Amino acid sequence: MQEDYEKAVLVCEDTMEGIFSAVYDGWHWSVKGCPVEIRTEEPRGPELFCTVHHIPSDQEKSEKVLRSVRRKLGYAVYEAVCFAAVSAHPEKGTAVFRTLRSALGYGQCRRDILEDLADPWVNLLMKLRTRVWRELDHYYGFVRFRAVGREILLSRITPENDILLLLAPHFENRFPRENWVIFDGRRKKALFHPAKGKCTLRTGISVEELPASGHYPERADEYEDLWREFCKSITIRERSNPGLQQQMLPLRFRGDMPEFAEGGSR
Amino acid sequence: MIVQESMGLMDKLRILSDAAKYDVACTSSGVDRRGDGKGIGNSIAAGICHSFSGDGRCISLLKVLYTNECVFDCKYCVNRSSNDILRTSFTPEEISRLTIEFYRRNYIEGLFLSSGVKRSPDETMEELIRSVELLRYRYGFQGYVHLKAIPGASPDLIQRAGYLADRMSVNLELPTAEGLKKLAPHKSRRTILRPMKQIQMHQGENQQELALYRHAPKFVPAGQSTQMIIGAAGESDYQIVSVAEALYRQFSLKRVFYSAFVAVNEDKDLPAPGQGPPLLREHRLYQADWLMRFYGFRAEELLSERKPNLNLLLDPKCDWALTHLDKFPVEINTAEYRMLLRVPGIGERSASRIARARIHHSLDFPDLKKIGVVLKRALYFITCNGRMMYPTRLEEGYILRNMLSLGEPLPPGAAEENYHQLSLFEDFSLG
Ligand code: SF4
Repeated sequence: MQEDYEKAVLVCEDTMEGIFSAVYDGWHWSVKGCPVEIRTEEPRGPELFCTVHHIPSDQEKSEKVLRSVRRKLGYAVYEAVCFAAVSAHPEKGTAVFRTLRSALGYGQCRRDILEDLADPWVNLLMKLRTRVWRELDHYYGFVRFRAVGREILLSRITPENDILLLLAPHFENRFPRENWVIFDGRRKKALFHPAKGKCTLRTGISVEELPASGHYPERADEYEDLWREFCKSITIRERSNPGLQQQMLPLRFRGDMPEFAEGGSR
Repeated sequence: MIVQESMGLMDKLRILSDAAKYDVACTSSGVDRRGDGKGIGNSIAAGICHSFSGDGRCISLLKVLYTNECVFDCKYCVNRSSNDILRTSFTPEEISRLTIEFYRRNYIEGLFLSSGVKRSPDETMEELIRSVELLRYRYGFQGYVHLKAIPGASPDLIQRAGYLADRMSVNLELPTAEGLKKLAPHKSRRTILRPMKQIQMHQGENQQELALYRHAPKFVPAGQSTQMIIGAAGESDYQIVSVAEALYRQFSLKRVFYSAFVAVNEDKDLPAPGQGPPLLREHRLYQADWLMRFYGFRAEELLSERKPNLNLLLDPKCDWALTHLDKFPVEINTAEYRMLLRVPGIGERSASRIARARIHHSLDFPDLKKIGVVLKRALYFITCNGRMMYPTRLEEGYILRNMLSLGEPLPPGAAEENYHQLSLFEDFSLG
């Protein structure tokens, strides 16, 4: 039972749907005056004066929240909360919740909420938004597909934030007539795109279950050798600058990029 | 000339991308084009970097020569006809296939295709066009294509190319006609400027067409650019920036690129190999170019016959301010916007913030800090309500020393040269 003087700690699944379902459920406790926290992991030790609730993901609730955010607060806020919700930060759920509460609570509708950087939760939300946006932007360029068999393009990524779903619109528009798969090796889920069709997300899969996985990653793709060769010969040796290269393309991305693979063409 | 017919794709790619690496490519395409679902690819105006090469530059395009065979003999170029090097060419099939295969693996945003002159300018241009036609029509490619116009190619070929490419460029190579004559004897101002003018004129007509018929085919939608080699023929910065200004004004170029000369050939008409490329000078020219494009400076304001070269020690805006101290201090609350832009340390962002904030109330130094204006350089040149921030002297030597002690972020290579310049300066000013 949730008492008014206690903090409500909502534990939800670490997905956008999970977070926004928790926002939906947390709202009425907040209205009653309980402070609300949203987490994606069980609280470690016992905490005083707080009740833990487990919130099941509910597509309908999550969509309701997102729809009204978009309608009432506009696209910028909608995008910011979506981006923040997939970040890897442990307090992201609370940042999303408190920001939306300040924007829409008490009968208000503050469309300029993102400018209120003096509010620590809005401030955190904006930081997370930027981090996720940066990583997404990097991955637009750094995703690498390998041709397996003749018909399938397969990519593995290891993002810090859970951006897989956010990559879908970009690659759908770019490669509409290809069968492609982007596999998040850290979270064991993948985006499947059939030629001329819509993307679907599948969770809880392993490398072995990927199409033509027999070829991955052992069998080489001849174009990877050509690409490595190109990257090498395009470099101007007189201007060599590995420090700058690393600043622009941090090491954490390189494991999934053939131009940085060891035992390449030479 | 050694031409190897039966070379593998790998060797061709190595040779022909190595030969293209000094061409400066733009990372932002400037065109937004969504895929229509029927082909492959789209184009994003801001550009996407797909990788970074060992020199720290963004790789976004497959940047290659179609061929390094060349009947011209430009002295600064590895591919000049008098060099005894291995020659090879792609075929249109090979280059279009390679582009598509790279693109679908998400290695690149598109193709930047340049070329030596194989047999004749027209024959070369035909093959370039054929390559891009295959790419667009056989593969349905909707990504970005930057195509070089070959100096001397006939107007109808330039025209056809313009409907296939997003951007075209004709390299000016050297800012003066004499330099061109001396170092690129087979090219002339005429063969370079004529296609540039043609593209500009046709683009203008195309704009009108597009206004009438939205679905009319687009001609060079990302505009044209050009490139000049810096430090090969002894021309002054004044000549270079004046030419750049004329190119922006009279030829509506989108960008002029500057490429520090890298000695690849030994030639009595060229600076000796062994000296590094003049990277600091290149950097200063880009800064001056920026001032002309976005800050309303004219070439004659920055340089003149009497002061023909940019100051390597200082960025050109600071340098301008120091030689025009009579225009300062600038009163923050009343100065015209264009004058705010001329204050060292105040960029476009700060200037527009000031302009917006001062409508409501008059600004003092703490207010400037609050709206995010960085004052460490600007403070020597401004007043708020008639007062300076500190009692400073409006005197060239004094401000110069303070500016130099603040340091400046510089690209690598240029930074080392700057250090060298500074130590020379110290020696002189002590003496
Ligand atoms: S035309 Fe001149 S610059 Fe171009 S490839 Fe031939 S020699 Fe080199």
